[in-house]
Amino acid sequence: MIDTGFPVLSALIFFPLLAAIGLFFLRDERTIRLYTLVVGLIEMGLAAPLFRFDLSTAEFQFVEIMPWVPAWNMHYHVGVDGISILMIFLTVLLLPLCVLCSWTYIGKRVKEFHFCLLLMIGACVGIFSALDFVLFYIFWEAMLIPMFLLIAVWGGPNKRYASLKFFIYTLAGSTLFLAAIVAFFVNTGTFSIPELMTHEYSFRFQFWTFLAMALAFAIKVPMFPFHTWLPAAHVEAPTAGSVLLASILLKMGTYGFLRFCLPLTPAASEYFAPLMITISIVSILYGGAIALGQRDMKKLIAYSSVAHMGFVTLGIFVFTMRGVEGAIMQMINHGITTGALFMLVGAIYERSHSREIADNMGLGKYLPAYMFFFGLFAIASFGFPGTNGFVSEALVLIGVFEASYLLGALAIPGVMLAAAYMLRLGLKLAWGQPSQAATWKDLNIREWVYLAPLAVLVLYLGLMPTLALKTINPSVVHLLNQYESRKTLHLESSLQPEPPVQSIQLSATRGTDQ
Amino acid sequence: MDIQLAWLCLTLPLLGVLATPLLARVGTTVMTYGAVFFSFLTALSAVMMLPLLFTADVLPLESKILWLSTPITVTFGVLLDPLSIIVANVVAVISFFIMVYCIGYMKGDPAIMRFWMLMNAFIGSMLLLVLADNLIILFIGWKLVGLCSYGLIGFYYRDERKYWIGGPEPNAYDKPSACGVKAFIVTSVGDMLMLGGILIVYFYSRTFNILELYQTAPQWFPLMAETPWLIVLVSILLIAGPVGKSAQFPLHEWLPEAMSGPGPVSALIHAATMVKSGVFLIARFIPIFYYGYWTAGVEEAMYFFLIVAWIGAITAFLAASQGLVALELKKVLAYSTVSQIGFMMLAMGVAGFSQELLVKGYMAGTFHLVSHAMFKACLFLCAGTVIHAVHSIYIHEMGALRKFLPFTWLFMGLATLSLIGVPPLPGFWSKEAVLVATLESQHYLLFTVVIVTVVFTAFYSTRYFGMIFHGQASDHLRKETDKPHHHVGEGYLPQTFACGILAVGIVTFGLLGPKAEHALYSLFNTQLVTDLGMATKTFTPVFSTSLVVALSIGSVLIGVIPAYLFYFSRTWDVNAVYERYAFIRAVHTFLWNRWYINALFNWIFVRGVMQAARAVADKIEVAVDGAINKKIPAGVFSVAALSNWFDQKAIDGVVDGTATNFQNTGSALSQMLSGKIQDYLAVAVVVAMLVGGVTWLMIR
Repeated sequence: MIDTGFPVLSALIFFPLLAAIGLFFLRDERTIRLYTLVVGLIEMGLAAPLFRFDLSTAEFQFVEIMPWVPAWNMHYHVGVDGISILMIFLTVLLLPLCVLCSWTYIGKRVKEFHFCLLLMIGACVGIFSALDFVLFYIFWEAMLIPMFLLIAVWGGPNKRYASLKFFIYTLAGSTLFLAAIVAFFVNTGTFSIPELMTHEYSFRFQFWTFLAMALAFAIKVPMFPFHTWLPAAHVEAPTAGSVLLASILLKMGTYGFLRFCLPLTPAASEYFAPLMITISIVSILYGGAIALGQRDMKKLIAYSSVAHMGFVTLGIFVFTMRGVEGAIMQMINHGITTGALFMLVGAIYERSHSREIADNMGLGKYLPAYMFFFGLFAIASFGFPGTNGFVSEALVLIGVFEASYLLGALAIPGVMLAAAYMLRLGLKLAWGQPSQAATWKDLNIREWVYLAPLAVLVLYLGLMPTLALKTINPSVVHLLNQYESRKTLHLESSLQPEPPVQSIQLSATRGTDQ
Repeated sequence: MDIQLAWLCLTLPLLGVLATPLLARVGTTVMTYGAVFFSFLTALSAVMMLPLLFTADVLPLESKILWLSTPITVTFGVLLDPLSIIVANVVAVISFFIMVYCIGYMKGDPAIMRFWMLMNAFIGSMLLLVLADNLIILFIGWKLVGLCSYGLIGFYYRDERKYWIGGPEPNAYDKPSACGVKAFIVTSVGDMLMLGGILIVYFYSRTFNILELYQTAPQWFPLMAETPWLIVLVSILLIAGPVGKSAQFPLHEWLPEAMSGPGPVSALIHAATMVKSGVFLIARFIPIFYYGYWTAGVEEAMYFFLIVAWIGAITAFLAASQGLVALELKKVLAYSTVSQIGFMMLAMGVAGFSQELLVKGYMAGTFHLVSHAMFKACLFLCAGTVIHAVHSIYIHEMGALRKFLPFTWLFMGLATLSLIGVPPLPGFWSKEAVLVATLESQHYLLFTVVIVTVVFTAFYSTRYFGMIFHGQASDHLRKETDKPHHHVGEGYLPQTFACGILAVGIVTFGLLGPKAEHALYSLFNTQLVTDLGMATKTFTPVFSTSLVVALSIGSVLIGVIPAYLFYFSRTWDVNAVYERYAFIRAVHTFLWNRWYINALFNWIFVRGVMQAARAVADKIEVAVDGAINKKIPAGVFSVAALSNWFDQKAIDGVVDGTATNFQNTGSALSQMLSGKIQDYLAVAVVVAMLVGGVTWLMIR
């Protein structure tokens, strides 16, 4: 562990929250935007110490721990490892970009919008760094409300429906997740995640807690039967909302699988892996097939997210090193490319006031820079070699083929579908007829500024993925070693009666572990 | 130093791409010559690798750097062996001449910067593909050439009317942008299948490195063979990539449409280089499967060779038959390309049929690759000049052009003779090698197909040449030449120069033909037998060479003579024949519609998939989602309504009722008598008991 003396993670979590309060004292819209932009840049600067991350260890680093509610054994406990640090970087990077891409898009209630944005970022960093179950849950729920507001207040015509759907779906999942947290606590008497990872649980306990957690995460990812909230939310959300939704929120589900399901309930993960793999493949193919038939740009990208996130869960549940590392890379890469694609959709929406593909055709001639970025992110999205998407997709596929080549053969059509729907979208946008784009202006400087960093990342991670892979490698190796050693229960421990339960007995929840 | 040349071959085109926008700031002419200069340097470094072939015992040379260490080791490296050196030279040298041609052909195009960048990017990616030492890097190059090809096919993406291909009226037209997409998607299908195949191979061999794959084949190949049918599956998957890229049946339908790009692009990508990458890759895989069948004794490995040979033969026949009726000049050449690549595939497939034929077939495939690249590039470049001059893409709108374009007539004539297979031009020697290999394999059906294809080739080659340069001028041409300042004539100097150089190359190579064949044979003998230790036997011909030569020349004559009478001397009237026989008309329609394969694929894969996707999206997704969104809230709300009823009527009712009673004591009795309150009370008690009971059960 590194003791920096400076609480990096706490700073990252609470600086946006504190800065959000500062918004109340500002009036002028322009000042508010500038202020939030500066806050975002400072936040990025605050993340700089994280570059001292030690690449050689799988342990949690930058750990901060202090008692919170001693009576309940709750701690304020944060730290990062290879799995979470990249997501934190991505989150922090997105804040200024989101401010920039909402610069003209958001015209009403500007102050409140940026307030929500800052709350979101703080909560998201919290989620990826929390090492205490209660803390995690608090951030998990805290992030919901600003997101709900982003959709419900600044959303499109059908915003009420979409925001409610989003909220109810996610909440339904989180209540089950809460039940699992309580069950773990009742079973072990601690909320500390690193400590929980050292325990071993009976199979029945794992079975039910896995189900509860997996449902929450599967809704968040979203996986096949629970995905319908996503297109609705994406279509209605403002650009920044869609970006955060696609880049960060969806990753929380897969992050949850990696952080909780695999280490805490290895035997159940093994047991449910065939189901999860099936659902993942269905997600890939079904999401791809639907994306192919869409007429709405945002919906198309939303369904492509379902398919891409299917690759992530597929990579996770084949339990091979390459699969898992590919999955983590895919989380990052999907965050970058899909975020960028949503920004581009937002940019064109500001010009055409429509998200229909048919209303945005023929841009190649009049908006070449726009189409350049769109083309780059589109090919990255379907995993073209040389872009980041290829690295992660190839790694996932290698991992899948290592597990079973039949599964791999099933996933391959998903890659083809991805190429098909992305190309279809890109080509209609570039060269479709009739074109109304003659009067539209190409990207302005502000749009260049928020797209260029993502484009650089696409190429950087595509051509030189070594650093990122080295960052996640020790943690993944550790995770899988732990998983391998614990996926079959040791007989004596599973035959033993349950571990002694601490003073608080919440009998009602014990239904889960009996 | 030698291996550094290979690295130079990769970096120089990349530098060219990066330099182009900078040079464009200086001026268009500087940019043009700059881009060509980079291509020249690339060709120079490729040519400097040639001496390595004479010291073949130092090959293979490999140089690599680590690209990825975790979680998988992928090196980025180059591999020099006879195959990669030869193909790299074909790519680099021919593309240089094509670049020279482009100086003239693309003069004044507003998007010229994009053109030069794409061309250099293409050359670089193609060399990456050829020189890569491992399958992942090869795949990256493979996809990159696909992307550049897509960009160049759709170069005229604004879809102006004059760039449409297809037709003539009343037939449908295709727009360049759509053609680019078609090419990209059709080849992608093959690519993805191939990626699957590569990954399965990786699963067993744990390496992507080509040399290691060869060397460790004794360990992993038998392992893979333990699963029944797996070798067949892997063969099909691995062949799918080359089939897509090289436009072989059943993924051949994209190449005719790829002709919508600028003329030199068709020459470079869709004749000389990119479409050869499939043949190249098959050649790369041959040692593995050859080892599998002949040394490791895995029966299923033979399927690899059978599939390749048959795909090659079928494609050769299919495409040549379509070439018989095509009216667009570049499409005729495209069909011809597909058909000739079929020959190469066939030779590669035949290589595995017996131990004697390995080197022979391997050599024949590569030899035909080289010679075809030369004469087909020349043909396409000349075609570009002709089309520019005449302002028409149709050969029936040309005719009697010889006097307007004498040089092009000469160069295109030489290249056409080579395509037909007239000695001593290179096409004759290399086709001869393919024929010998096929005949010696004693698969007579394959040989028959090939001979018929040779007849077709001779016919359609004579046909287009006659229709362009001989006979009477067409109405369209007359209209063009009647204009006061008509452009019917040779193109710019660089164009004629490039065509001329290629024509000289053809003749020289043709004169050296037998020598080249012999040299290639001994080279591949070194590569395959000495270095890789393939178990071969010495080649003892069953049939005499004169028999093959006689068959070859005879079938050429069968094709040429009627075509000459129809289209050169015009002693026979084509239209009369066409009108007279219904059978000919039916065949013509069948061939004109490309055996209806295009329409069928379009119907199934484009319209079918899109409709299915839309059906899934609209019928399943929206409907199910809608139903769920109605049913679940309805359920929840009915539960809520029920509890609300309890709340309002039962619990609150008791309270309210009581309150009302206190207020209206007078009417209390009557209320009691009406029985309402008892009802409420009764319900309240029941509910309380239920809640209490459940709570109690839970607490217990």
